[in-house]
Amino acid sequence: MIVDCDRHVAVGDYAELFTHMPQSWQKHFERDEFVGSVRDAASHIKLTDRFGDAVRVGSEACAEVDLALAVPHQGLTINGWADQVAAKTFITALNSWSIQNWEAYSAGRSAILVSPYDPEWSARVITEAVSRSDRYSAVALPLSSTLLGANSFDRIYRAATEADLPVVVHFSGVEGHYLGAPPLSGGVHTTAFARATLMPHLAESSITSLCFGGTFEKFPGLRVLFSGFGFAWLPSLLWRLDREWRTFRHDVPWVKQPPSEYVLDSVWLSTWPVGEAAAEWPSLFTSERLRSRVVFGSHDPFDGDTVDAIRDTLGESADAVLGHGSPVLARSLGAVK
Amino acid sequence: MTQIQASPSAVDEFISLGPLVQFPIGQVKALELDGRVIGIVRTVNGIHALGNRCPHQGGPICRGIVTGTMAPSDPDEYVYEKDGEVVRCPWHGYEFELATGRSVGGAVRGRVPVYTAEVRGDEVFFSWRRGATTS
Repeated sequence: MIVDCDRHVAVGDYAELFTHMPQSWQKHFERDEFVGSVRDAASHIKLTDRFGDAVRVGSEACAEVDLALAVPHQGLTINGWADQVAAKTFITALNSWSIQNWEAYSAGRSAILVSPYDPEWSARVITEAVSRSDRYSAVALPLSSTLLGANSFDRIYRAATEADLPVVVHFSGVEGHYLGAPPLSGGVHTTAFARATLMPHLAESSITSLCFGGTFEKFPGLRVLFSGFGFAWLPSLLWRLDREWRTFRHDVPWVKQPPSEYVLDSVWLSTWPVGEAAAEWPSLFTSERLRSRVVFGSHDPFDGDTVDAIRDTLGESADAVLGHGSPVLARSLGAVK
Repeated sequence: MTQIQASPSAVDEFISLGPLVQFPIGQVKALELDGRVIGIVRTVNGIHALGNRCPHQGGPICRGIVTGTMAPSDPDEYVYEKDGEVVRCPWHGYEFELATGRSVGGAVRGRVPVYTAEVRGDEVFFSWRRGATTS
């Protein structure tokens, strides 16, 4: 089985969302200040000419996989929006649109967009979404400047766990750039490619917060997928987490085992960009338990990795990695062809 | 550091380390016995003898502090316990139970060596016998 945990689905024009929101909100959004600003914001995070291309049906893109999780990535950018009321309306419309978009293709699944700024509302969104459709296979939580191990996210984690959905964390591209989104360390880089280079540190920061905040003790069934951040850095992070825990366990007594154990049970990383592991994979990912954390994520259609690229880079481990997404998307497996 | 020339010649032989009043409660008193450093720790519950080697990276445990520790707890709660029953390595802060030498919370493999110390009357006695403690 091939499971792609990192597809992207996008509207070609934001006006497509108008039919997925109440008329009053349509009238609010139906002007260039909104449509134009969202379009321009997307341009600020544009890394390739293909960014922003509509990915409406996905059947062609997904022809070679058995299950594909699509993240409506335009909704992730609400982490840099000033108007968070409008942002919730926007992602509600995207949630409605994306599920309709993928209905034609049996392997397509969508992530439910939620807001990091309103966890209580987000928990309701999760519960209502899964009651409406079994095509939702994950919860997409945009990164904010509040670390993921904060108690304020407990409502979201509880709802996700009760719905048996993983939480997918994917950068929106405005991190390190827009107010509200998490900053990148060192300062504000001027280019999208500089920020993209540094995105892995946001995942490292988030995993550290989840472990030391005790989130996995509170929610043992929680599954978290970090998507698009790469993965070659994981072994060194686990080593450093455990080292500091051994020294400062008394400062986080609720962390009842080495932090790496939580990660090896509850956290996954998608492969994109798989090229970063070309040299290190055999020497760093030395155990099956460690390799099992790495799931196939093509990142299509944005300079994504093909199944062949995974096979070329990961060698004899590739077939296993291509299927490692199964436990992450367990809720959806029963309905797969 | 106090040097004591006479060291027990057999594992079960005890020698006197001096009057109890010379061992303040809640501190590691380092002694050198026949060229080997040991730490004697008097607590409100008894007396303990440690070897001077942290199992992590060989740190001088006898220069550590005597403390308590945080029990495993729910998130955002601290439950302090075992006050005076734990020694913390001065190099990396690893904690060990004075009575057993075990790493608190299983943070590191291996133990601090624990020997036998006893109070007889007003005097402290020591033996190289491993792992025993008295109260």
